[in-house]
Amino acid sequence: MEDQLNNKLIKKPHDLFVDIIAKSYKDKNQNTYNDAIKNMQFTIPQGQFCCLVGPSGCGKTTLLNLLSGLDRKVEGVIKYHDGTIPNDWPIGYMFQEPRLMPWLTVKQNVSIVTNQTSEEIAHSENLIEEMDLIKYMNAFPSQLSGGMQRRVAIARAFVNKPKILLLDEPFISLDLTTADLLRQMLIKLWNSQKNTIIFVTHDLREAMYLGDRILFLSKGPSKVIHDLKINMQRPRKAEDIQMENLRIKLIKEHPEILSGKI
Amino acid sequence: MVKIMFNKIKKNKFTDSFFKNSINVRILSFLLLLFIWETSAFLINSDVLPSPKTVLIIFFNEMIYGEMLYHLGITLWRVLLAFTIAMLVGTGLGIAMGSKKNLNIMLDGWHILLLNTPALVIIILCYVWFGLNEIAAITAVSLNKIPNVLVTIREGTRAIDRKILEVADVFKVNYKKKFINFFLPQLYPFIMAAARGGISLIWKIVLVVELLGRSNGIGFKLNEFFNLFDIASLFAYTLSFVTIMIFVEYAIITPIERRLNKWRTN
Repeated sequence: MEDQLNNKLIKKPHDLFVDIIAKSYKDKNQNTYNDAIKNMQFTIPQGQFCCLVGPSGCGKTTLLNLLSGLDRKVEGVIKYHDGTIPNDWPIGYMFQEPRLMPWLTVKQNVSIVTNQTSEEIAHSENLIEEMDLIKYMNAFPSQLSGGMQRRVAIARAFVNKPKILLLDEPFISLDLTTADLLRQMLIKLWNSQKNTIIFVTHDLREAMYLGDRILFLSKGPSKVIHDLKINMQRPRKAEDIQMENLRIKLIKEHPEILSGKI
Repeated sequence: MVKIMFNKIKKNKFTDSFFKNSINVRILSFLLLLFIWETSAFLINSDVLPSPKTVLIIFFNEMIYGEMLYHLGITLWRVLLAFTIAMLVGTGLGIAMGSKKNLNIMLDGWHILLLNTPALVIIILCYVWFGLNEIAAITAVSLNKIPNVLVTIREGTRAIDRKILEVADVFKVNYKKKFINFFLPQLYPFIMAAARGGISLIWKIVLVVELLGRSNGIGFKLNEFFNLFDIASLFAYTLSFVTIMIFVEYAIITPIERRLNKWRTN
């Protein structure tokens, strides 16, 4: 409790402020502009694991592209407390698919996004070891299962010790056991680096299991419609009665929250 | 009875394993060609089609005592130079035209014009404009090959997986590294296809260029043999070059390809 209180009072240099007035995209067929995001404001304290939950097509990927700096055309401000922007610092990213280079080995796939100093290569190896892939260090992605490929992608996301880590529904289309294992591994690495994490998902149970906090987004043009703190101790269990009660209570209070209405 | 059946099975096994080994089949195919050649030469019995034996004797004679190695070297040098220029220019233009839509529209007409201009026309024009010299010869050969390389590389560039490039962008990989490690590897199969098609086309055109306007090289010698009606020497010189090209294919191109495709075969 005390810790959280401190978090609120003391600003850290990499607390993230997001204030988007509008983000629109051009509809190529009709030659008109549509708003993907409108009036979205939130602050994420440094080191928080924040989940974003919203209906499909609510502009979650658009938001991640803005945060990562892939897309810079926005009316609004995205910056850290110290005035820098996320793109000034290392960023980690995990896509819906593993997106590994098929022509590189596991080790090369992780280290290729660093400057490949001997220190960074050693760090890549450590991460691969932590992902339980030491035996596959020199294997090619085509030799790995889908779950293992995602473990490589997790290692790659952490390899630059990013200030912020963006995950775009990284565990969809995996079986439950594999997804559970990967979530535990993600938490393990996050605990060792304490990065700020923004994790996009449409699975409320997954968000509650992982996050310190969940932001619920509306349908497009999207904005934050609900901000839920998850004050549960870690390590958490996947099937926790307390968590399930919280979920049921939330759904009872806001039956349509998952389709983006409150 | 049992013995005969046993023999039969054994025989089948032998032919099966013989044809399963691809080297055996290759040797068989080569011997068959030699046999057809020998028989035809024997039946025709004329200088127009010399026998394999005659050709081989001239081949070794020319190689050891004659000028064959000199002319072979000259031709190889021209092939190498024209090949390198055509690959570099063709790949550069292919990537540029594959990724920039407006540039493609701008240059596409010129490209089709060049692609469909007969090799002979390009060669004659180069000799007329630049004179009967080495630069004209190399330019003519390169110009003949560039449009083909361009087509292949442009297709490759259009097939690039943008999602892989996005990975480089979000992890802020610098431009040079992005090109070498994220872009080019996706293009390798296309570059190899262009190179393989290129080398066989180029050496054929080099011979024509030499025949029309140079005073050395295999093409020049072939013209000489044609005038003297020396078909056996013509065969011997052709054999020398084909041998080199087979060597290039198996000792250089195939190993490079195998290395680049290591991740596929694994």
